[in-house]
Amino acid sequence: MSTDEQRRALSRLVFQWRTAHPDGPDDPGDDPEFLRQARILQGLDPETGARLTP
Amino acid sequence: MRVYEALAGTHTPHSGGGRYVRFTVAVKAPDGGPAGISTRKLVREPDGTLVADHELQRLLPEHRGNGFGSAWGHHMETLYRDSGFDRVELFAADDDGGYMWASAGYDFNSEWSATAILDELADELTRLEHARDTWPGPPDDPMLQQIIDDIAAARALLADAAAGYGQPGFPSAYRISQAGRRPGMKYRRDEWLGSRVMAGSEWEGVLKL
Repeated sequence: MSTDEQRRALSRLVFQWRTAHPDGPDDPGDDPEFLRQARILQGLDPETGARLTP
Repeated sequence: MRVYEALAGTHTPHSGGGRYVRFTVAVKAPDGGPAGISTRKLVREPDGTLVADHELQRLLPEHRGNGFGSAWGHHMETLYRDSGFDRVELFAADDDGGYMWASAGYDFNSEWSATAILDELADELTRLEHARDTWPGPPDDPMLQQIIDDIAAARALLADAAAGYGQPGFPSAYRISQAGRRPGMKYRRDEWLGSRVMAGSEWEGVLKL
């Protein structure tokens, strides 16, 4: 996935989360499930945020 | 909310050309008093690409953290997506902006922006290493382990940044902002490596739609 594709995928994830949680916190990362999904999307460990792929 | 200024214009060739519409809205509190201001510029570039420029947003301190910023941003983003906009651009600043825009998926829009954040990350790494080396408590102290974990995270980010701005693997603003965060941590209540680095920072951001 190119950098631009990754950027668009993350922005779509945030947009979809905000649509589903109109009264949710300002920071979507306050939702542990969102944080996990966003990290997986970026190729990161969902718990620690460490990079998984070489 | 009330629109109190709107105008249309043309960018000079030096500014990339294209036409734009700029509008400013006054944000009101539930009691009708002033709460803030927001200015947006909608640009059609010469090749037809649509870009939204979030030029200005200021909320009075007592009205921050109540959800207006995210609700207003989402409302506008819905319009942008429905209208075929390519991206949103802004300058992240103020107390919360440096962190919150990164957490919302905005990425660095210029090399100097990324460099400024990486410089702050390097400074934070120095502080962490000093804290580790002068730790007064026992070696199995959970707080010391957190510092050691943050040192590893900061080093990994700086190593990946060696790929060069714009190259695959270069850390995104989002990745930096969430570094060291444990699931369940909440912004404003807790702090972690990424929130310490990004809070109060200033950088040019872009959200690819």
